[in-house]
Amino acid sequence: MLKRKDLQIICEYVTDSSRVLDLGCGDGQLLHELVKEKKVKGLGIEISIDCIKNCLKKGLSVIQEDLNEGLKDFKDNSFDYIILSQTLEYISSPDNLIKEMLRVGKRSYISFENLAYWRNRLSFLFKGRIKSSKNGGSIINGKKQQLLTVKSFQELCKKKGFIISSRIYLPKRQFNLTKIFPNLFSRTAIFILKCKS
Amino acid sequence: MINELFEYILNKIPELKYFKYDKIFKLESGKTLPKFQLAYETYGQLNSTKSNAILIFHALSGSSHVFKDNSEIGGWWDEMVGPNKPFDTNEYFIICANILGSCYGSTGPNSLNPLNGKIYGLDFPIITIHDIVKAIKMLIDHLGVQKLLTVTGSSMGGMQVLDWVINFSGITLSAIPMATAAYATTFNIAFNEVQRQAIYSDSFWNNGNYYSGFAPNKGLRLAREIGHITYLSEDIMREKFGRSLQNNPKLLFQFTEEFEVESYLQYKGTTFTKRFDANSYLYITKAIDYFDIRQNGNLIPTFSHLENNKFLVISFSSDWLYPTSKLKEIVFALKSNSLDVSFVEIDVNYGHDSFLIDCKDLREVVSNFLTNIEV
Repeated sequence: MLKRKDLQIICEYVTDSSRVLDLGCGDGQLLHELVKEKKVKGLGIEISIDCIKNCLKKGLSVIQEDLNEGLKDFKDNSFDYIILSQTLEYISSPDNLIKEMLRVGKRSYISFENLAYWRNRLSFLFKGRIKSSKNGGSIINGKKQQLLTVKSFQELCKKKGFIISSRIYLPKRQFNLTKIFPNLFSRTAIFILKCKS
Repeated sequence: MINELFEYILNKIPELKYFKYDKIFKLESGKTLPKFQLAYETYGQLNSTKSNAILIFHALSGSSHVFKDNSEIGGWWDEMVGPNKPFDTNEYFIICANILGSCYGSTGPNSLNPLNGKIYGLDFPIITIHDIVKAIKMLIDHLGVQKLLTVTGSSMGGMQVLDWVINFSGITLSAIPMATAAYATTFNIAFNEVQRQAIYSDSFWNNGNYYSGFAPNKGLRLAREIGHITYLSEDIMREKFGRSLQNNPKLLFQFTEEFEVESYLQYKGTTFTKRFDANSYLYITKAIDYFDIRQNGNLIPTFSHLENNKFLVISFSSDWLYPTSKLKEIVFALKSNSLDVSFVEIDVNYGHDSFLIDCKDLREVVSNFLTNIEV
């Protein structure tokens, strides 16, 4: 059972026996679930050797690679789904990677924590720092981090001509305020992008 | 005499066994061997379902002695093979054979030619990686092993892994090639050529005819010194020796070995002449040079007939003889055929020889991968 809600939702969307590429797959939780439940043919990309060891222990296929170098070793349209969950924050050139994802996969699922979530705004206003639930902010975990919000992501897609086919905002409660004011009320956002053809 | 030396070494290995093939063995070159034998060792027990066998291929100067076990001589892969090691002898049945052309008990240039009763020398036919692998396949059949959990090896051993899996994919569940390439690069050939030239230039080499007299130790020593530089990295050499002087507190302004790195290389080269045959060195480096499994320069069709084989491809960050880029070419070709492939670059500064050292990351990556390979 997956702990993270965005992963649960992505897992529901993926169809049986499809080919899935998980970018920044971490310990391989999602891929493992997909292989087990949906019998997908999965491949993970990960940079951390410790995460790779965990993936191998689960019997997953995983390739050590720096996503900042793109997906040049992947053929066009070679995957049904490409997943980038809570990893876009750490990519130095997000638009290039997304472009690559759209080249290599038929559907791309991108999830990230929305920094414009109201709790983050309050935290910034009163405490002077953004407390991201997962990472505790970029300085603390020592990684270079993009400041991603629902609004900025949509603007990026518009500017680069990426077609968003679906949007999922979490949490799904609070009288569905996330639908009306997604940039304010969604903690995590999932965007589904389709390749152009 | 050099051959007595090998006999002396081999006698110290209680587990050593021989597989004899008494029929004509056809080689890739079109030439034949009237018969051959392979020296091999096995560790662990083949289980009742014969489903726990692992085949390990050695590199250029290796032997079947992959694991020390009860012998006096250390195994070349004691870091990886043994009880509770990744290639766990409590769990798996480990097979390692000395390759054709080598001097540790298998038929090679230092063996007797049955056709004339003399030592082969340069009458030994040129062999290729594929010939080496084909001979080992006969041993595997002889042992009654029908499935291999994995085949693994580094460097030239990795080339054998690749050749094995494209030829015998049906009996091979997985493959772990390390620090290797799908073809010998220009750079590899260049270094092999210089090493061979070092041997040729020793007058004792005498066109490979030296088994009744002095062996070309000077040439072989120089070859090994050159080779040894390519097995290390700049980092590790600086770390180990720097510019330290060996015996004297200051520079002598003489042509003697003064720096530590000089005496280290000489030591490595000299000890090598006491454990390896110069002709074997020539034949095996030549086999490496000929290796190229691409089809018209393209590696993708090479693997197109594979289906269910799993791969774990491993490179070492400081290896400049078989750099990460060469292993990534293999990964790319496997991936392009939608095969199950994992790839890791182990971050270690020991150069090409990194696969031989104590390395936690390597051990964990391999044992985690193996956990999921089942017949």
